[in-house]
Amino acid sequence: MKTHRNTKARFVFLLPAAVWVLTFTIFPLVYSLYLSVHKVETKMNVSREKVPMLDASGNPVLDAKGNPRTKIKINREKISTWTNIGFTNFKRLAEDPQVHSAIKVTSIFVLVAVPSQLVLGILLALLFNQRLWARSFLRAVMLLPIFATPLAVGYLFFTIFYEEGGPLGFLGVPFLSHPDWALFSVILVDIWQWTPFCFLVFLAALQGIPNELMEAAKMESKSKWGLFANIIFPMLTPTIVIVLLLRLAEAIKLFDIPFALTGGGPGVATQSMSFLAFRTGLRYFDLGYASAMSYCLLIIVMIIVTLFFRKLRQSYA
Amino acid sequence: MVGAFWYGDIVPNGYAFPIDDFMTTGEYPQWSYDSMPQSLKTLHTWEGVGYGVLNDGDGQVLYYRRDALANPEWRADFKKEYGYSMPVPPKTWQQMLDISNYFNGKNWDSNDPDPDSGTVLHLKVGEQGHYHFQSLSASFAITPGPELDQHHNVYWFDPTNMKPLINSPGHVAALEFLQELHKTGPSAQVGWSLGEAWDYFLRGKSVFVFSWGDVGSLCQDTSRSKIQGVCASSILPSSDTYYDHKDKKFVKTTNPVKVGNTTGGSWHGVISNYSANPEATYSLLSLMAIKPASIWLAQNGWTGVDPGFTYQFLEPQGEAGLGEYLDAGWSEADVKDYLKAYYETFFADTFLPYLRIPGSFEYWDILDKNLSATMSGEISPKQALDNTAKTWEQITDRLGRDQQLGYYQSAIGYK
Amino acid sequence: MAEVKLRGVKKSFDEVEVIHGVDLEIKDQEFVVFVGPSGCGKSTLLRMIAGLEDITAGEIYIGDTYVNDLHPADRGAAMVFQSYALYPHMSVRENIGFGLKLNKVPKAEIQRKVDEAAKILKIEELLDRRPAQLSGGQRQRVAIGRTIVREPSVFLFDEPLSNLDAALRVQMRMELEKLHANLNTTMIYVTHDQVEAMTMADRIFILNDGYVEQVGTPLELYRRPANIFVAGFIGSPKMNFLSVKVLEINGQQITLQLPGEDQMQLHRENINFRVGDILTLGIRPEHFELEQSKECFLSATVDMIERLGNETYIYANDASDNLLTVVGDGELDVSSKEKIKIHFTTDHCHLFGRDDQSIQ
Ligand SMILES: Nc1ncnc2c1ncn2[C@@H]1O[C@H](COP(=O)(O)OP(=O)(O)OP(=O)(O)O)[C@@H](O)[C@H]1O
Ligand SMILES: [Mg+2]
Repeated sequence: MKTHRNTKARFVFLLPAAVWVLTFTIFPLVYSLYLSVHKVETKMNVSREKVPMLDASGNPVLDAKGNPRTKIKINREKISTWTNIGFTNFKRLAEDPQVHSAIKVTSIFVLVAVPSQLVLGILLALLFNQRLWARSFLRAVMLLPIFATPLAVGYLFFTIFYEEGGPLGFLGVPFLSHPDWALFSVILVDIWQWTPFCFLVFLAALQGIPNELMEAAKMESKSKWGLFANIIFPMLTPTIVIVLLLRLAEAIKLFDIPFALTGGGPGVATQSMSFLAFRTGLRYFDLGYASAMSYCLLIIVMIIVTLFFRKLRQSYA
Repeated sequence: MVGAFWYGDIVPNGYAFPIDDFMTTGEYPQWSYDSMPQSLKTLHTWEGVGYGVLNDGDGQVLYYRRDALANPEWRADFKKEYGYSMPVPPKTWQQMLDISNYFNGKNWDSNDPDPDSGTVLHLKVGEQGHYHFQSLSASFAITPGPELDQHHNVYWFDPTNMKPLINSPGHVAALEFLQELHKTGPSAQVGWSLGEAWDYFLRGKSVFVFSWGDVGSLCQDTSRSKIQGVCASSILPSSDTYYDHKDKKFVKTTNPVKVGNTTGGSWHGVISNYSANPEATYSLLSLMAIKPASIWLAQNGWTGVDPGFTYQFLEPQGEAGLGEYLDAGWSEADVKDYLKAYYETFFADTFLPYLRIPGSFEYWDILDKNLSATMSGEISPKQALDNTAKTWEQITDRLGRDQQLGYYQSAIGYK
Repeated sequence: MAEVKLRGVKKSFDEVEVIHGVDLEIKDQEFVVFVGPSGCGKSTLLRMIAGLEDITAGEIYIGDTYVNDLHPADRGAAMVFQSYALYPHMSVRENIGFGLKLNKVPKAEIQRKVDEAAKILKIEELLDRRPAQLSGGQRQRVAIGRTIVREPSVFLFDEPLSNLDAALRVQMRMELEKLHANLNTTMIYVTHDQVEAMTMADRIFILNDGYVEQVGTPLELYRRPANIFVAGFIGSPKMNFLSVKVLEINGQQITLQLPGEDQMQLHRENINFRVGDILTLGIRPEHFELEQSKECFLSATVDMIERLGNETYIYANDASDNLLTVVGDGELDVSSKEKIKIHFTTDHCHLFGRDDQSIQ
């Protein structure tokens, strides 16, 4: 009897969360999968009729001659036809040069930006973990980029990379007008924005390593590299895996920086997968194809995440 | 507010509310499609039914520095170098390129001590780069003729089968030309949108910019512009060589026809069928369309509204008096040029047809990305336009070739 | 194998000086214990020897080497930490062999040394485990093993037993002593537990507030504490202290007024006080007796009795309401509120002057 009541109570308490997940996670997933294998054509049948014009309290509005005025009421009937087109959209993915280019752009971005952020984050964390002049001030400055909105960061760097008289103009570097440089600039901005996050987490992890442990190691060897490779790095590994995972999942979704900085250009040199999906879905209104792209992206992220969690679980076991 | 290129996506699907009935009741501020050139009127209607309320007329004209081109020393030097005297304004794109080349890298403008450029372009991907190409390439790629038929006065697709024309030799030649022109400006402009390019011209850094009407009125805003009074304008030059689609060859001409354009969105109000109060919406939109509001909008650059309507043009072509513009702070020389340039652009005999079919934006966007890739040196012009044509075929097939062909024919008036 | 010398060693953290000039010499193969109350600077001193703290002033020698500027790993010292400081991601074997591995000792030799140490410490069957899978005592052994394999000339221990339970502590204490006997290496051992100090040390260094109060063998310190601090610190239960007034000085014979009516006579060679001065008399609880009458006695009232079985602690108030502790045998017949006479001999009396120093 009692357990029965318990299950019921549990169910009641879980319900809001379940509804939340169903509405905002599962439903969009299923819907977009459905969308990706269909062609949707929406037509509207419209008819108009004249109806009496009423004021706020429901009385008829009269014209200058005292006759009741009319207004037009629009009757709409929306007709959506969903035609199953199988995996056409997924086949298109395989053949679409824009998709290939976007995958390339996204991959280069992820493979350069994320490791750079991690390495820089660790180096900075090591630096700040020591006694350092004006440490807390510098640390606060270091963390500022975290608080900036990515979109705003994109626009900010647009002015910084401005080639005609911008602050870096004297370098003569075609930051945004050359395809390779443009991708590099996007990567640079992402590094600028996200290294502090990695730094912060690694610093916390470093400070979590007991002092006596480091001292014990220090008494055994004076090789700084040896200590880093054998003590610090292994002890940071779980943190590194988590940060790597977070950054990978986030970086694969790269969108806002190209959106604000380069518009995906020049050409498609900085058009990422998400950016392409965005343009396809919300600019071309080719929702089915955009869903297919998003699914493709989702699957890639899922594979990576799964691999990582497996690795993580192993390292904890 | 919609761009004219949306019509193909919103009207056939039943999203737009026809306004012809409202226009005749006399209960609303009175304006008329007759105040528009035919070229703009077309953009406000779909298959003979009116949907759009007059607001902004878009089209690109050429702006040039009156002072630089008039300077006798430069003129003499130019003649020595190029063997002909500098025409003002240039009649052909090729002349304009010579002039642009000539001035590029020289410090001909005294606003700063640095060298200045020839032509500034706004080429940022996803923004207005492809519009440059449209207006420029029109006179390279359109075969002029008295009638619109399969080969004449067409630009986008073959009106008999929807095969893209965008990679025709004329289009390719135009893109190659645009690359040359790009070399006479700052290389950073590959990543520039309107603001950066206009600002460059307004600061006196380039001889030429070809763009929308905003530039003409921004020239008059002395808080941003250093060139009021020397900001001249004209209809866009034409190419001295065009491609003949019928005979499949280039034709060189000494007196190319002027080609008008309505390049841009000609952004204006269309009432949605979701409107609860179409009457009120229409009332507001037409209030903004009548002369007092409209002329004020056209005179002020920051509004983004450009001239195109009879009451904005000077007498005798239009109804506006010069005094109104002078009162609004315009330089007389500038405004005369400006309104003449727009008049010629909108009333030209040969015209760049406007792409108004379902998916217009997607077609353009593909073009835009490929253009941008060309301008940044990634791929060749031929390759870019071939890619574009290939993708356009896929879009057409996806959206339905017959349907697209029908809309295309009616949009350009092919019979 | 080396001796350790400190000359005028001082340590300040920022502006605060916590070690005020320590001079000490530790002989080769000696087992010395630094003992003192919490915060007195024992760990700091040890860590300076280890090289984990900068030396503000003074000189430290290990053997004949001046080590002030040497890296901790180069000083020939190995340390066992209170928290053991084992590397959690390494097996026991790796933990013990870590220092050797980093110092590029051949694998076979590492293996041999680790096995040897494991045998000494009886942890052979634990070699493949991770620290998290060990008990506290086992971890302690691993930490010691890690120091043994490095064959240091000085072992440093910072309260290595304080995380263990009482029984284990006793056992480990003896094992450490054996280890010392086996290895014959200089060992410096920090603790605040005077029992550990008394049982293990060849010599004890008593620290207080950044000063060395007294140095000596455990029995020397017990028998002849140099001042009130040492007298109170060594010995358990704590020594009783009474305020006494000098009534008469007759050559080297002095008469003291005990609390209440009682008086006593004492022989001292070093008369550095005058009649009327108030001095401190110290007598250990185990030197008080209730039954046998001795040369001197005190009157008191029993306040509380604690019976431990083998002995009895009696807490009694003297005439000035000073609480005295008496240790008697387990069967002692005494009851609360009872008036008692506490007997003692002058041999067991420690007399301290107004400067707290012992008067001989
Ligand atoms: N890093 C430090 N910064 C500032 N003061 C310190 C630091 N380390 C120790 N001290 C101070 O130095 C004094 C001696 O500390 P130490 O750790 O040597 O004491 P200890 O004798 O080992 O005490 P315990 O028995 O509690 O371990 C204390 O007053 C302590 O507060
Ligand atoms: Mg300590």
